[in-house]
Amino acid sequence: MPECQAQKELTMSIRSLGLMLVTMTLLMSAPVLVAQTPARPNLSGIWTRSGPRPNENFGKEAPPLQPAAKAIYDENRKGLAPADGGLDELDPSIYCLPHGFPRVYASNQPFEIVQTPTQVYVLFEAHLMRRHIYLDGRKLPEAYPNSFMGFSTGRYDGDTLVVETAGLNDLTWLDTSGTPHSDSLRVTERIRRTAQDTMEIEFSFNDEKTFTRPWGDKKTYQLRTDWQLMENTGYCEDRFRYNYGQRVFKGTVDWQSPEQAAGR
Amino acid sequence: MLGSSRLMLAAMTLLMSATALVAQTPARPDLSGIWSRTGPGAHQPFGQGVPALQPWAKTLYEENERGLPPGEDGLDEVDPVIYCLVHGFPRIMAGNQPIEIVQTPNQVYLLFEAHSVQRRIYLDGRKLPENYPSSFMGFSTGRYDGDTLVVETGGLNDLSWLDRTGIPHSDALRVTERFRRAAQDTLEIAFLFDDPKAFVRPLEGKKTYTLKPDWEILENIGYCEDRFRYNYERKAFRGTVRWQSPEQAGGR
Repeated sequence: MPECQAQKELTMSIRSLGLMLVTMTLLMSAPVLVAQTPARPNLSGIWTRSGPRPNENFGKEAPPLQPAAKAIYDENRKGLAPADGGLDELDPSIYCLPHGFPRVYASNQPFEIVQTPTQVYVLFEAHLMRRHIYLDGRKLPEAYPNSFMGFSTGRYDGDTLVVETAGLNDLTWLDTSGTPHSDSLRVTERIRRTAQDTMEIEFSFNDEKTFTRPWGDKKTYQLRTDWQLMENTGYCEDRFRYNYGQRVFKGTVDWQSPEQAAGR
Repeated sequence: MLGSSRLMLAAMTLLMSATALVAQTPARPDLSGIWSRTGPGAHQPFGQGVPALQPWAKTLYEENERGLPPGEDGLDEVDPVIYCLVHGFPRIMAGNQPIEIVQTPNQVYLLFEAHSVQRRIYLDGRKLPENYPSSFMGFSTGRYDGDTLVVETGGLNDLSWLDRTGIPHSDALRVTERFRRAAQDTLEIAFLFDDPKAFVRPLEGKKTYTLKPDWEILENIGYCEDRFRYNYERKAFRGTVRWQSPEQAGGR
């Protein structure tokens, strides 16, 4: 009997052990489920470029331009000192065009990174522009329309997000100085969080129609945990005119159009 | 045996708390994806007929629709969009260009193809700050009410039209939206527009949007004279268009 009782207890212990094992296995698989999303660096948040100047260039020296591009560059900088930005009257932004990529990264206006498993979105305060970086393996479609922000694909390489961008139009300046580029420009970015509040982006520019060799630069950005993105649609003559016209119509500005002055 | 039962209980408790952790994010309707307004027309008005407007707004509306039958699209030459301004909210919700919704625990983003603009809806309980600069897209806060996302928007400027027909609004406009996924591929938004400075009583509207799982959002910055001019001049500079600026023609 005692033996039998002991055996029964043993059997029950084994049974509970089995149950426990099942429970433990389940418990262990629960964190696996939680961690199902592949490990990726957390780049989300609001960032601003580090450094004192509101607008910067890429690189410390003049870009390696081919002769035709050099002519446009010189036109954009006629009469200016080396440290100046390009001429306002030739700056695409003055004509209501957005800065475009990559120039928007040389500005000091904040941007927000939003990460989802299949896309990284970059939302800019400047001109309300936005980038979609596809992580799902898609490629730049053929005959894709050129755009100011381009078509971007990315992948995580350890702690780094590597982004390839093409499909850019040739209307924008590469940076503040007035560096032109063609629609063959391809940009590689290596985006890495070097500290809790610091992100580094290594840019590499490849445009065989414009540059004599690939070149690039590195910029750092600071996390702004207590900032909020505002709206900056940009200024230009058309917008000013409308704004003014509306105020006139609403009687907050004393002004008459030629038609009103003629009594119409 | 008693010992192993206790261990089991502890293990079960741990398991349950792990599950609780997984489910920590509150249940919320999934509104994410690319949506395009259902129904014909590039633009639609929000309601039926002409709303009851305050006198100044009525004058402005008649100016925007001069010579047109009531309810027609407003005159191009007074349309803010022609002057490089963005459609703004709420007008952009009545266009037919696609909208991508991205949901995170603290924010919902609406990313528009039209003018590449976006809306940011804060879910963390913050309120419209005092003296917040008014903007084209406004300041939006939201909360989930069962299967519905309820969004309140204020802080709008008075430069944009409410819709394509040219209904004006003031910077006192407040909009309430109720987002609900009426079917797997259908999103419904019920709008309430409250603007005592411009409207005699609040206006209502409802729009439905269809899920476009195989679409991709493109870039559309909009067209206007300044942009056209720049584009043209650049091409001239590169020799792809035969054109001379007055200065060039003068031999400078």
